[in-house]
Amino acid sequence: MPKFERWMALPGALVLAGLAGAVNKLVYGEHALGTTAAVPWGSLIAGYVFFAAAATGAGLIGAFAHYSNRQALAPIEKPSLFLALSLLLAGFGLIGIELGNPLNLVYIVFSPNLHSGIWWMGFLYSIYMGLLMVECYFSQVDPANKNLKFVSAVAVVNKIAAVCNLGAIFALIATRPFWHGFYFPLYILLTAILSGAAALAAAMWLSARRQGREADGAVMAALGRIMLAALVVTALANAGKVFFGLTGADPALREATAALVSGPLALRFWALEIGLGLLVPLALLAKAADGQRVFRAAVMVLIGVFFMRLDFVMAGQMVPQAVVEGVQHVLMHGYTPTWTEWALTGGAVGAAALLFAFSETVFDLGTGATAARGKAGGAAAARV
Amino acid sequence: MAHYAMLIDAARCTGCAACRVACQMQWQLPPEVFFNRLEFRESGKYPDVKQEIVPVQCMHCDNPPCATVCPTKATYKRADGLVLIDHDKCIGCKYCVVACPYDVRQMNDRGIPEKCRFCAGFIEKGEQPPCVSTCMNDVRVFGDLDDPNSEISKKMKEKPVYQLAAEKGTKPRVFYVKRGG
Ligand code: SF4
Ligand code: SF4
Repeated sequence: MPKFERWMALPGALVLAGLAGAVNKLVYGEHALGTTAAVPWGSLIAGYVFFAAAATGAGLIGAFAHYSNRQALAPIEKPSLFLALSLLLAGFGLIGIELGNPLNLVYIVFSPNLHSGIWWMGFLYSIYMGLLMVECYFSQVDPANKNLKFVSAVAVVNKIAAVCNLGAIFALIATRPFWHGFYFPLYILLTAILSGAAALAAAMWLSARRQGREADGAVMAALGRIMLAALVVTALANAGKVFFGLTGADPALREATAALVSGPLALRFWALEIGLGLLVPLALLAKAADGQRVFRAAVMVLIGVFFMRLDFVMAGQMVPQAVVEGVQHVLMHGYTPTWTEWALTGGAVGAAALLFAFSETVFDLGTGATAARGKAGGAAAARV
Repeated sequence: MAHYAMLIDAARCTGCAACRVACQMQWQLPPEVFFNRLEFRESGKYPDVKQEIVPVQCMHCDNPPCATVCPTKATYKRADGLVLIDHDKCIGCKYCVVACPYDVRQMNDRGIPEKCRFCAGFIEKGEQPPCVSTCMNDVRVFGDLDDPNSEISKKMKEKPVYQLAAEKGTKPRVFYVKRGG
């Protein structure tokens, strides 16, 4: 049985704050959120995208480890599955609380609209969760099982489809030029790998520290290299997005991009998304990466990607729509997350951490934290 | 089968907002929720300035993006032209709010994005929507475009009309009389 460990106080406190936020949202509904009719999607949607994409990225990297037979990545095969499941459950929790009427989700089955990106999101991510559970099960009962290989192969297709569709939810909305087009489904796939690698690196490092040992250097270095490659491509993709956004033909696209780089979102964009989330990790990882440095870079990347999701969701909605030609009430719509939204997001982070730690203790993830192994944790870690 | 539509002669609007209040009374809406609004457009330079008032509401689009994106078909298009919301099926995802190019959706206290219903349930009995009947200047005409003898069909033939943001391909069923037309 998992026991309370001192470090759990922090994620535990975050979960308690999240529960307070959930109660407030249940009682006050939309009034508990900073969203408005003009900016209907806020940080909970961004948070869901963050968790779902990171879960997909972690799963994809786990599948890569599985099929590439790279020795350095072998130790992440099992943790990647359980981490992906923990992140996905945290994301589902967030979206469940964001929805006004989650009980009506039965109509996703009984009255499906196959033209809707959100319908496909529900479908593909439910399958992802089911496949992850099956993979987790097989990873425990018989790691060499052929079934696991088959399920993993299906899951790879499902993961790519799920994360690209997550991008398509935004990309298919023709009335929001900042989101519209083929760019975002590919961008979210790329940044899912970035955030998945970062989440894995953070989890592996913290798991080792939890057991009072150093994280496996080869694993951390391999995850560092994946992050580095993803960061370089993300930097290029961002540069392209900004360039084409600022020079695009559609004024609403130009205004939204300007909001990001020189308008109300600029401070967050440059300081958190680009500075903290991209440039500093790039600099850290460009040098020979020891475990601690990769962990630090991973945490910064995770913070940066969270704000990347938030900025993306915001920039698409901030520019007022041209309904009556020549009428514009405000230059930009505003949105500030409430304490409820911050508490829920923090709660989801805490829940993901505790879920992973719980699964590490109860199941054999090969990280050496299994309760059954007790004091042999160190020995198991040495095997890793 | 009737095919309902609305014609708005914005040049006649004085901006009294009686239509908005009548609608709020009809549907018992709280003060901050409204299904129709007035947009004020100012043009020209002092001393030669002009103000036009344009009433805006759900356009009951024939190609409604809000219904296309709705995952549970809670938002749907009726054969008679009305775009309505089945509250029981709505999950509150707000995808319709994001997808509507006219910014007409309003969240109610139950987390359901509401909007003008073209007074479904009343118009079938032959009643006029209160925004139409309340207006002292006959700004709005509501009726069946499939009936060539309806007032709206006749008026649509008399004057050139346009639709808001028609370039977005939504095919609105709310038409506006062109100024000076
Ligand atoms: S105006 Fe907006 S809410 Fe009304 S039918 Fe068109 S897209 Fe839907
Ligand atoms: S909020 Fe309700 S009506 Fe709107 S898209 Fe979602 S389920 Fe459909």
